[in-house]
Amino acid sequence: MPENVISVSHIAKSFGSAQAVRDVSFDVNKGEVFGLLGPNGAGKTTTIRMILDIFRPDTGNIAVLGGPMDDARKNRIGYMPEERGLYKDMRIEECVVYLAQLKGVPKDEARRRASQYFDRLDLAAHKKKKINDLSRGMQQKVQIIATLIHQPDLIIIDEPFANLDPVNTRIVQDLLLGERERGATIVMSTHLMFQVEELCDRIVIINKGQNVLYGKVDEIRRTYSDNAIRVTAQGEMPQIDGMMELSRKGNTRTLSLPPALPPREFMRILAETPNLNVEQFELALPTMDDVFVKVVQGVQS
Amino acid sequence: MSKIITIIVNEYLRQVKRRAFLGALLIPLFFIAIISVVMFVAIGSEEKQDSAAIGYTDPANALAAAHQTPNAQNKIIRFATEAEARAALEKEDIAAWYAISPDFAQTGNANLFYWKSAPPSAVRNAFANFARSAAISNLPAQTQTRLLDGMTFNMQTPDGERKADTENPLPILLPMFFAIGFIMAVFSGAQYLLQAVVDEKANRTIEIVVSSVTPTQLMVGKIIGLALVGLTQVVAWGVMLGVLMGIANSRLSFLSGVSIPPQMLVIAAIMFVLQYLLLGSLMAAIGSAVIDQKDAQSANGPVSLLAMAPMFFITAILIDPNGLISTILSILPFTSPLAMLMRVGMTSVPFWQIALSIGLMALTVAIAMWLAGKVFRMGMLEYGKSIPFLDVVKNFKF
Repeated sequence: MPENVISVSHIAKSFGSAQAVRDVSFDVNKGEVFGLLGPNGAGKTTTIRMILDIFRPDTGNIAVLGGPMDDARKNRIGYMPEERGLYKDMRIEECVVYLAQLKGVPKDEARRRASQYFDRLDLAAHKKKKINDLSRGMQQKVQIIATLIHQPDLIIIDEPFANLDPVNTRIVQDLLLGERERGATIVMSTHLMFQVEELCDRIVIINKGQNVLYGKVDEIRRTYSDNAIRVTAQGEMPQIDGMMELSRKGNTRTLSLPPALPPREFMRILAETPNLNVEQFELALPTMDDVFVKVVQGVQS
Repeated sequence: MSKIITIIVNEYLRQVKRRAFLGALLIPLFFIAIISVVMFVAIGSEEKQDSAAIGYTDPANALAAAHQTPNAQNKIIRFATEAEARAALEKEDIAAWYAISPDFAQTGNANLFYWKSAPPSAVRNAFANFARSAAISNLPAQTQTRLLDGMTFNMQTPDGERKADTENPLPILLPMFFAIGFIMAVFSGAQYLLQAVVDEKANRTIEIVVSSVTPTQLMVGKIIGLALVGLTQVVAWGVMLGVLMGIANSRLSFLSGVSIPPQMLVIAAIMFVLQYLLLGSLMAAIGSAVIDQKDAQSANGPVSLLAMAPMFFITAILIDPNGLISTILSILPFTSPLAMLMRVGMTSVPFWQIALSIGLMALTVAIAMWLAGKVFRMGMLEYGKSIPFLDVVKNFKF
């Protein structure tokens, strides 16, 4: 039984007359990269804030790192909120050290680690500058440092790659994967699902404050693949009852096979078709966006 | 706990390093210094003048019976002719001279002649006294002295600890100055707090911070940190004033009787802290509910009024420090810091009243800070809009 780093059970939260979260449940396992996905306004940020004990849920239970949130647990969590904030009038070293101290890192140790991060991320030359005087990209790097400097066991990032240029996106990705190597658990929340589907092991998709999908990324994609395959071939394709061509680009066709016909069987058919030169054959797994649309429309219909 | 200390230290240093703080600290001092120097020089030279000699001519001999009391400071010289008087004036032997008119006994008219500027009132009063003495010369000597010298009222506390008299009114005025300084210090400190809370929102740092400490820890840290800033300001001003007064003491006789009893300073410190924490909690709550500095300014209006409210009852306490109203005002939490401080400065207050006052105030402050933490929790993440007051009440539960 994998250890639960986060355990959310049927939480709900409303603000006045607005119901931000209706019924959300999921667990996050130790060491995995978990995606908290959903469109804007779905309740992701509110859910995160409840996990962090910034708000209390109206109903339901939350356990983080084995129990209710307390000071010691807060020290083991790194959080990068969507509203990326830094103290504009402080020097970057001061700011990072202060935030590290609030996570329980002693001042000298914080200085030492900050130095290392600055060197690693090319900020050493700007150490004494005020945050206001840095470029946007550099400020983003500072934010990441502040999130990771206390070596958290659990890292929660809201919209991890928002407003990052490709270079910084790569830097952030590498840092996160490095943390995972270290044994940290990572939770990423975003409405840009395509950004994280490659990185996440398991996901939960929420919409309008409720669970919509939950499970392993691979399995979900397979479930919603509509038995589709993508074939690049030269020559005549065999016609099969119930098979539909979903799209075509040059010699590459995306085909939806009838439910009774497994892809492997179709592959055998192709192999036995004369005058057909198959160059590429793969399962056409949907993107999470595709899956999401399907599910939501399914719910609505 | 150590996290709260981290926050306190951080807020304190950030605020104190700002140029605005140094300005607020030094500029008033600068003005005080200039005014003191000016006063110093003016009074110093006036003292010389106060004891100047005066001349007079009295052709009708109206002031024949006039004499000076033994305590008189100014020499009064009679001249036979106006020309002689004039000459003496030019030689600066006298500061001025009066030409008593021939019909003085009926009209009391006299002309005053002086060279560049009129002599100070002390000099003129001395002559007026002299002239009066002619009118009462038929009264017993002792009565004459009493009438001419005026009366001195002495006031002191039952234990003889503190004295004030009509020549030395400062021990009464001092509580008033203290009170005004107190209000100013508390208010400016609370302003810093308001700014600090709104800054936190404007910087969008609240969320990260609150994932590390509880909203209450954050609020307490900020409030205490900025209380220390306000206190630093007050202490700095106090020290400067003390130094100036020490210098002035040696030259200005009328300040020599002034001393501030130490227990007053202790109580002042405690009361300042409590009053500040109360006002600060209020400011923090407001800061949580608004978006940016602009909104904060408009919310400031009513709060300024609240902070200035003590001014209204200062008079009541000055008039009757031991009366019922004054006593009540000095015990009830919102008005007590200032009221008690003034009472202590002016009269002897029973210890139980002081203890009760401080106790109630401390309790109120604790509740206020807890409430501020709650409002802060609610309002801190509303980035886009100010929270209407009703929402605060409705959603109070968390």
